[in-house]
Amino acid sequence: MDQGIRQEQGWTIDDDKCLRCGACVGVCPPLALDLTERGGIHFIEEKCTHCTLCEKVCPIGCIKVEPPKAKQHAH
Amino acid sequence: MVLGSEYDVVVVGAGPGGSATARKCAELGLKTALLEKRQEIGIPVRCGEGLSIYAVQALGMVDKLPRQVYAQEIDGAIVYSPNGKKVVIDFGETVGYILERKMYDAWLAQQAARKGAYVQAKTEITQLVKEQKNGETYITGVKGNFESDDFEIKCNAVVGADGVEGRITRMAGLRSTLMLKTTDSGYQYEMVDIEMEDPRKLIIYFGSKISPRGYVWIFPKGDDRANVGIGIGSMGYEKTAKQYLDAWIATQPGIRKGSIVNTVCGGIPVGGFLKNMVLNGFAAVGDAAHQVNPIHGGGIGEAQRAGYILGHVLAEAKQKNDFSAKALATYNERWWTERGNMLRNVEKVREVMEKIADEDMDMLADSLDGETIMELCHGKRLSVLAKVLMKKPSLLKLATALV
Ligand SMILES: Cc1cc2nc3c(=O)[nH]c(=O)nc-3n(C[C@H](O)[C@H](O)[C@H](O)COP(=O)(O)OP(=O)(O)OC[C@H]3O[C@@H](n4cnc5c(N)ncnc54)[C@H](O)[C@@H]3O)c2cc1C
Ligand code: SF4
Ligand code: SF4
Repeated sequence: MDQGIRQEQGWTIDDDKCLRCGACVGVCPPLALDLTERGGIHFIEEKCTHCTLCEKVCPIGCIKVEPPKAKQHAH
Repeated sequence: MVLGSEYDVVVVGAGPGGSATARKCAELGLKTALLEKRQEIGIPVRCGEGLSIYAVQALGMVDKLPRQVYAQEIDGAIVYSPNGKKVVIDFGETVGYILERKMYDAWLAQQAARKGAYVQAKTEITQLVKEQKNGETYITGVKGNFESDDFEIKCNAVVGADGVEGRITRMAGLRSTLMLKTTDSGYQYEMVDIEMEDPRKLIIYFGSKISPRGYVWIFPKGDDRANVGIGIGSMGYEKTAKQYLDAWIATQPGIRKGSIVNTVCGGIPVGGFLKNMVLNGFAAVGDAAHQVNPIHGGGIGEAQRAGYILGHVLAEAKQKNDFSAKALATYNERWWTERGNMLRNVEKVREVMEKIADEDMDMLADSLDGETIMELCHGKRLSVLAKVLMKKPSLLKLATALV
């Protein structure tokens, strides 16, 4: 079941469920998301502010945004 | 069959907005490239596929639609209010089409090509080239890749027709990021072997329980085939759009029995129109500029109409050799006059609809006839709506906001 889950720093997507519609890309203020023909939704960690807008707009609920804990540890 | 390195206009995205713009530009003599990142134009479909006859007429496409680009002719609608009251709107003649968007989009792009635009799929624009001219920043080209080869093109103007993603439009510098409060979250199944009341009518179900801040739709594509979809607000409800739709279908034996042949989802801009859609050497069209009817979510016809307006403005810019934001601002003016002011009125109706409770919606269904409902969807007769709302003291404020 969990095969399609792709976990990034504080941002997770279920690639199996995602229909690559680009709604999340359109609401993301810092352009941290991109819809690629090959790999689906591309996430650019440095740009993400963890605002959760992408999670809210997704019609399927494939995205989960968490506070950037790991990021803080890394610094 | 080779992408050149210099054009008058480079259009990014071959949806209805991009294809219409490219077609008009090419017709008016501009050297035009229409570039689309998808492997095949028109696929995947992210749409309910409804197109009204008014749009078809305004676009000069009457009697020109090839049979394969639409599935069904529509002669009206059946609307259910939250308490189940049924309003039938019957025109007795064809007033719209349910398209086969993959065929329709391909046909529009082919038309642009036949008028002289160079069209290329599997071509992604990744960057804009910006230059200083007379102390101002101009967009003077694009960078991208075709298959795996990188390229750069110089041009007088770039058109952002890049849909809801709108990355290129935002990279250019327009403040067009979709806001949650004016974006619907949509989900749809194309289903076959289902039962419908009348396969020539759109069927719409309102109610905050089945679809908060939106509605469920059935757009017939034949006697037993239809797009069954939902659009809800994206401000964070209990469930996702898909979950709301699944829950509704579970209550409908005639739909539940069918098969799913396509799954579709997407974001729908439902307001937040841009006062300014141009920059030096740049203009945005279609979903990228939020040009969608905020009530019925129709953006196909809007994108094409805006594309034609923009094509004319770009041709005038070429004649004067002036692609500055100031010159291109004619597009803002014409679009707002021809479409924007009307759409802004529709947005006001929507703002009322999303604030009222289910029982007020039922009251509207009792008080308004089908014709008035249609007119409201086109930004007309807002005073009639205001009058009905005024009957209830708690709705007075909303009513006055309308007029
Ligand atoms: C669920 C749902 C139901 C809908 N129902 C209806 C309906 O019934 N009727 C109606 O009229 N409208 C409907 N709409 C809205 C309609 O689909 C859009 O308004 C319409 O497609 C807008 O056309 P467009 O040309 O602006 O954008 P699109 O059709 O989205 O085209 C944009 C194109 O740009 C391409 N692109 C993006 N970035 C790049 C890049 N960097 N390089 C190259 N190419 C790029 C994309 O791949 C895409 O092909 C619906 C939308 C949704 C989501
Ligand atoms: S909004 Fe959801 S379904 Fe659409 S591309 Fe983003 S993650 Fe995928
Ligand atoms: S959380 Fe916000 S910034 Fe991060 S990807 Fe989602 S929309 Fe973009």
